[in-house]
Amino acid sequence: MEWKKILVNRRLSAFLLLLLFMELFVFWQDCEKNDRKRIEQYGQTYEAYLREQELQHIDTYRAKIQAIMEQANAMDGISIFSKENSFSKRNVALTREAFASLQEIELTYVKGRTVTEFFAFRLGGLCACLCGLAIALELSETGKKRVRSITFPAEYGRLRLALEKLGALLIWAFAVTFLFQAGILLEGTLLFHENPLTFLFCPAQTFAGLANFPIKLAVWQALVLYLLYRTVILYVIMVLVWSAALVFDHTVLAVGISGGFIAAEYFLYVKIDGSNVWKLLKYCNIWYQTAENDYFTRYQNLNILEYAVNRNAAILAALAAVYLLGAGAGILICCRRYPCSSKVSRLHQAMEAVRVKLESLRGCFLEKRSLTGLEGYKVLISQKGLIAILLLAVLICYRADFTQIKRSTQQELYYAFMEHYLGEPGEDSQREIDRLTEKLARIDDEYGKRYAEAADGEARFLLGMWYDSFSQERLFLKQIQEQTESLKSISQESGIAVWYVNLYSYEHLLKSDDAMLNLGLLLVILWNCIGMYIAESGSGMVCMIRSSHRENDLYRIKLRVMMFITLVVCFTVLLFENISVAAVYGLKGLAAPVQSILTLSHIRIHCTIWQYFLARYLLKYLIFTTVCIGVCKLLETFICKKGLKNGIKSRKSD
Amino acid sequence: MRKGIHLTGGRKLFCVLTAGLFLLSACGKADSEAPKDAAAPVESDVVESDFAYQFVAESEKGYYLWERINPGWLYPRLMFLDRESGRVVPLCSRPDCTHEDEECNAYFRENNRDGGGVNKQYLQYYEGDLYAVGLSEDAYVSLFRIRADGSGEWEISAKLYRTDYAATGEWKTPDVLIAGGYVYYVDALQKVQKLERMPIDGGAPEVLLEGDGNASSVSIFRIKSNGGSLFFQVLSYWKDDPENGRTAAYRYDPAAGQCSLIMEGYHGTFTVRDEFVYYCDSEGLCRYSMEDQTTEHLTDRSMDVPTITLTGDYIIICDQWGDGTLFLYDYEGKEIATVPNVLRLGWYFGGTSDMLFGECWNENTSLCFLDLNRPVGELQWEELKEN
Repeated sequence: MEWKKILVNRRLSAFLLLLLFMELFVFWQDCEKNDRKRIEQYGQTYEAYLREQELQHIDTYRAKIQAIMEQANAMDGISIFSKENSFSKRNVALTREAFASLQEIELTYVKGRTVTEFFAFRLGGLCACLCGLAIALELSETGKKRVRSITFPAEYGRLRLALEKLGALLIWAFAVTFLFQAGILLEGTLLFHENPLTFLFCPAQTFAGLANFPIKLAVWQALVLYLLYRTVILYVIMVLVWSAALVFDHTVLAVGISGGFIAAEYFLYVKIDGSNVWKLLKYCNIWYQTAENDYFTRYQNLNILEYAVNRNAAILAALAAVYLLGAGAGILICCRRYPCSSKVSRLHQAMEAVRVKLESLRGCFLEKRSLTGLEGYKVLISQKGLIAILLLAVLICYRADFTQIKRSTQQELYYAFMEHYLGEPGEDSQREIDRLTEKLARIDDEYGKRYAEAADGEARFLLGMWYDSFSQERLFLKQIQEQTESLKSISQESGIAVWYVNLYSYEHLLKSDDAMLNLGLLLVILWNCIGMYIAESGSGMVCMIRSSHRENDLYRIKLRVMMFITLVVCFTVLLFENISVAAVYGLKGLAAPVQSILTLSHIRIHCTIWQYFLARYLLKYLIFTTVCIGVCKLLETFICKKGLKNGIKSRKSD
Repeated sequence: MRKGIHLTGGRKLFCVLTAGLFLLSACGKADSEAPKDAAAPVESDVVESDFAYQFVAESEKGYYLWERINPGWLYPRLMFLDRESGRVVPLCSRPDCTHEDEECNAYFRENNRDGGGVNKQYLQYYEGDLYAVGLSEDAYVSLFRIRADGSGEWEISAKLYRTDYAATGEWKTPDVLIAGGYVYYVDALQKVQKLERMPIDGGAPEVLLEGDGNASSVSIFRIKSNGGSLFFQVLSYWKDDPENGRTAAYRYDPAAGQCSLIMEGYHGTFTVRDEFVYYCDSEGLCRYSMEDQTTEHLTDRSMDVPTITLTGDYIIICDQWGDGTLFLYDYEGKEIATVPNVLRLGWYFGGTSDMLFGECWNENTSLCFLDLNRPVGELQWEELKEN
């Protein structure tokens, strides 16, 4: 039975239990924090505060529903909301229908902090999702080609096995969801000393957190429905991951693709704010589904081609489509993928011939490679590390924006000044500033004089327009005077001969550290590190390596390859950051003392701007290299040397 | 806060209005022959648009306006005044929305609060959508769009140009106007300004008018559209000399792709309709025929006015800097009615066809309107309230 495989997998069981305890702990801490904060800030217990909120909610609930109905009726009389066949009209009608049944609900106060905290807590969904992902990968048996060789020719080794796996995924989706959600519920009743029988049978809308819940259900029914929602969501996610693992048939690649997908989902979740059709991508989203409860507690209709579609119905429809796709792909692969190559058709013959040719070329290529080359090939090609690097390249292209900035006149003057007077402030630059100061002072005088003499309003108006046309120059003068004063004072304090440099470009360079790119960089390094070592374990080469006299050489070479890859990707990202600033703002005066950049004037070391940034980038590279070395050593110990104890033993024996 | 709002919209124009009386001698053109056709101009299908006073957007079904910011309410919402029912509601199609927080569709974050957002003074309705201008999160001055029935959310329609907001912390709303599928704009932070345009859904910008390269400053302002053409004024100075300046009004014909001079030496407010330019000078309200290049004086009451409103029946001007009285004239120049300023109107927005709008400065700043469909004797300002 497929579902039992998870039970006997100790690592997975430990992982599940760990997540469960973590979730319960965080829930407890969250509740404590609420209590503490409330008392500190307002001198009132959280219970008392919640009671006030709930009572207020109950008092006003009827009126709110009434207001919704009245508003719906009123909107029928507003032309833009009552246009035939428009989303607005349909939305109003649906909303009225949905809330109409809630008008008769009688609410009375019930102590149920458990329910409030249950629906406010977000971590449960994420934990369940992580668990589900691990289970899905385990059930995919990716890389276990020997198992596949046995099961495939068996009577029920294909379709029935695939269906059993789908069944197992469903069972575990339900079990995991139930465990994580019921755990919080139980913990809540214990923490708050509440008897679940007191709140389970009252209307769900009794609690403020479910004020917008549009279905007339008791709390226990709402909880069951919630559990089913979460189960369906988790099940679909698990099926998707399971089928992705089967498609790619490569653990690292499957994890990487899933990770990339999750990252893309996060991007959609955060960024989508546009028209309602695209909003579906925000709601049918792993982050929205796992980290939010809004889809359950709030009512909303989406605009899909002018039809008002209930958001949850749209989500379920989308999930059903995704499920069919994932399950269909998984079943197809299970039934049709042969564990070893076989000449079934001419197409297969042709593909096989190509494959053999490529293999022979590959063999010739690898023959001539040194150990370093082989390790590089392994991590980049065999373990698909190159894909991660290409994905990073795509991310870099996406983040790139070389559109020129439309500079204001003030900025143009500043850039021109810096272009001309780049270097230490001298007489020429001071003369330029004095000339501008005199000019503006002259304009001020002239304006004052002419304004007093102006014959009429028209003359004063024109004078005002003329005077106002110098506003950008005034701003520039103020800016350059401030910079000059700052440079003088830095020079006096530190004794360093600071320069005029274009502060716009360097401020941008200082802020150009892109969090998303750094994350991408880190993921690429981790992907490649994992790929470097997991291949040995998966191929069963570990024992052979351990028996070789070049074992340590091999691991040193692996480390060197990884450090080289880290160097290349870090360099690429840093180069991109510099190019994107230089292309838009320009980077001149790199030989200037770093204190010329006013935000760095506190630096006491005498160095130039380029030296400062070089050190900064080296530090960044060192950080990433340290992470890379740390991860490599950990993987070497746990994967290749089979555990910490064995790892230490084998090192001691060296 | 109130003063800040007033100053942000069209600073140059505001300078005009604060200077006091504006008397012009630009009517020194060949004059006096009454134009052949002095009757009311033909009702134009195109709703006149004027950036400087684009606080209210008119559509077939009603009017859109931003609420005024008040101390107790920091989330000005986009409101809709329904022509049919006369009701004023937030532009949100969700009956279950309380319209009291940022979740409401009618709310959009304020300009400059965190570097992104929409300017809450310019609003324009165009082909089923509402447009506003603001700054995107990646510091592009952008045209934002929302569906006119409140069923969507603000999205970027076109990115006009990139600013250096991250470094400077400053940007300024450009003068913007949408007409004929294009957005016309002028970057107000340039000393020598250019009139540019871009397709409304984004694309490559096109420079339509560049100031004289020898001029020390060129300002382009008061962009309007009528009859498929664009009208605007240009004020240029040479050698930083106030004596060496020139003002002119231009017309841009998109079909011909050309700018042509229509009037020189006049820099005050003007309105265009059906080949006539209406403006006020020292002698009163004038009408200049672009075809005949002749001017006639319609009234002899000189007045400083922020805008001239033309409806099918009336020419309407408001003595905003005086006592705020509204004057309605017919197209012969005969005064039809005056409407006293009973609500402390501080800012007259103008209007079109059926309604006029303004801002009243009482304890709280509020919007007010005047329904032109009423009998002349019953015309009065009323406060615009949500209902």
